[in-house]
Amino acid sequence: MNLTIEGIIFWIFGWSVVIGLVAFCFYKILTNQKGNNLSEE
Amino acid sequence: MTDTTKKREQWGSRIGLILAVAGNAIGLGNFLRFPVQAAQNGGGAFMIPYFVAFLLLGIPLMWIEWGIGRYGGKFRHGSAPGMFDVLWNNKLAKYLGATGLFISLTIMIYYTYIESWTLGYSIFSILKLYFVDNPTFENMKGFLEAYQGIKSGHGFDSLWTAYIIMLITFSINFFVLYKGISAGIEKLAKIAMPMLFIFAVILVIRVFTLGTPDPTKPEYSVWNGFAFIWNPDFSKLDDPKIWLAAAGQIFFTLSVGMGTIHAYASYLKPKDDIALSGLSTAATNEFTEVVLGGSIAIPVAVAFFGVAATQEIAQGGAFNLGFVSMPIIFQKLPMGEIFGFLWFLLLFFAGITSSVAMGQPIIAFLEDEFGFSRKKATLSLAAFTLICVQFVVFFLKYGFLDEMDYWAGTFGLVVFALTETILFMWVFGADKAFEEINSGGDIRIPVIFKYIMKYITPLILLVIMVWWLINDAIPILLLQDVPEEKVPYIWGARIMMLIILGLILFMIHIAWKNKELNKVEEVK
Repeated sequence: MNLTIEGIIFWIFGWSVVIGLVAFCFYKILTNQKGNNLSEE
Repeated sequence: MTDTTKKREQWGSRIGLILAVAGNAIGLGNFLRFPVQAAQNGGGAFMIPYFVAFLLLGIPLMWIEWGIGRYGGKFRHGSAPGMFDVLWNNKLAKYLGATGLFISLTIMIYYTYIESWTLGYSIFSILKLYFVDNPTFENMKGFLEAYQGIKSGHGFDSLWTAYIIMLITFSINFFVLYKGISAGIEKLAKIAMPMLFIFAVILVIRVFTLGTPDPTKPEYSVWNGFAFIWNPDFSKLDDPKIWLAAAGQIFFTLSVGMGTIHAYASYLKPKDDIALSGLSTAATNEFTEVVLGGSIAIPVAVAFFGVAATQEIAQGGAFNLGFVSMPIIFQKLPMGEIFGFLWFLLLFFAGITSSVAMGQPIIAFLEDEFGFSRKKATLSLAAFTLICVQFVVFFLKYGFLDEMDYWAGTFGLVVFALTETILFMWVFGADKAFEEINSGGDIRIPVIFKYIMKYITPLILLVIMVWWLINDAIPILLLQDVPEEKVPYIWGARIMMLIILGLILFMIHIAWKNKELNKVEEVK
C-alpha cells in the first residue's frame, strides 16, 4: 500500500482544516482586546 | 442549606479555561480510537463525514453545553439538575438532569482505573519491566493481563501493583479536585496540556524519522502507515455505517453529553465569551486528534507489523493497540524505554485532565445544592468512588467495566445530549438559547447554526440513538453472546449503576425539598 496522490490530498486537507481552525481561534483570542483575560464582574 | 452569600469559584485566565476544557475533551480516544476509526472506515475519505459531523454535531453541541453551563452558573448551579431546572420550569426538569451526574460519576469510577494503567505502564517502560528478548503479542497481552490480575505471571502474583497505582492515581485526581477550579483544575491543565503537546510532538517527529525499520521488508514503512490512514476509499461513503462511525467519533472525542463542560462553564461570569472559547476548545481537540493522534500509533504499527497485521490490531480495539502493540514497538526501538515512557505519560496526562472534569459535576452539585464545602464534597466523592471502583478492579475479567462503559460511557451520552439539546433549543427556546450563546461573544456565530442546533443536531443524535439501540443496546441488554460465568457480574454492574442513579435522584429530591423549606422559613 503506497501513499497515493489522493491520500496526500486528503492528508493535506485534514491537517489544513484543523490547523487553520486552531490558528483562527487563537489569532482571534490573542488579538482581542480582552486577550487572555476573562470579563470583569 | 445553600449558602448564597458565598462567592462561587472562578477561572483565573482564558487560556487556562480553554486548556481545561480541551483537556476534558482530549483523552485516550484521541490517540487510540481516532486512528483506528479512520483506518477502518475509508481512510482519507473518512475525513468527509468526520468534518461534516464536526460541523453539524460537534461544534453545535459544544456551544449548547457552554451556553447551558454559563446560564446555570448565573443561578449558582454547577451541575445538570439545577441547570435543567432553570431552563424548564417544570418539576421533572431537575430529575432529567440526574443523567448528567450519573454519567460523569459512573465514567469517572472506571476511567480513573484505566488511567492508572497508563501511569503504571509509563513506570514499567522507563524501568524496562515488560522488555523481553523476543516480544510477541501473546507475551505482551500476557503482561497486561497479569498486571490487571486476570492471570498470574510476568512478575505479578496478584493485582496489588495495579491496585497501588490505582490508589496513587485516585489520590492525584482528588488532590486536584480538592484544590478547586483555579488552583487545582486550571493549574493541572496549564502543566499537563503543554507537556502532552511536547511529548506528542517528540513522538510524531520520531515516527516521521522512522522510515523503514526493517530494510528486508520495504513494505513495512511509516509512509505506508500514513497511506493506511489517509488513502481514501470513496466506495465506503455510500455506507451509512461510516457516517454513523464518524458522528460517533466526533461525539466521543469532544466529551460532550457528559455534564462536564456544563460544570466548567458554570464558573464563567455572565459576560464572559463562550462562542470563541467553545470553538477554540473543539479546535484544539481536533488538532490533537487529527494531526498528533493520527501520526503516532497506526503509522508506527504499520512500520513494524505491516498493513495486514495492523488491520488485525485495529480490529482488536484501541486497548490492544495502546497496551499490547505499542510496548512491542518500544522494545524494538533504540531508546524505546524513553519513548514508551513519553507515550504512556502522554496518555496519563490526556486521561487525568479528563477524569478530574468528570469529578467536577458531582462536587459542584454537593457544593451548590447542599452547601458542602469543597473539602467535604471532595472527600464524599472520593469515598464513594473508592467503594465503587473495588468492583471494577476485582471483577474486570468478568466484564464489569465493559458493562458500565456501554451504558454510561456510550449509550448514556447520546441520551443526555439529546435531552439537553431539546431542553435548550426547544423548551428554553432557540432564539433565547442562541442569544445566550452569543452574549459576550468575541465572535458572532452565523445564524445558520441556530437552525442547525434546533433541527439537525437533535436529528443526528436521534438517528445515532436509534441505531445504537437496535444494533447494540438491545443485544447487550438481553445478554446475547455473554458467557454464563459472566452473567452474575454483569447484573452486579447493572445493579450498581441503578443504585448510583437512584441515589442521585434521591439527593436531587432532598436538595429541592430543603430549598422549598428554606423559602417557606424566609417568608415566615
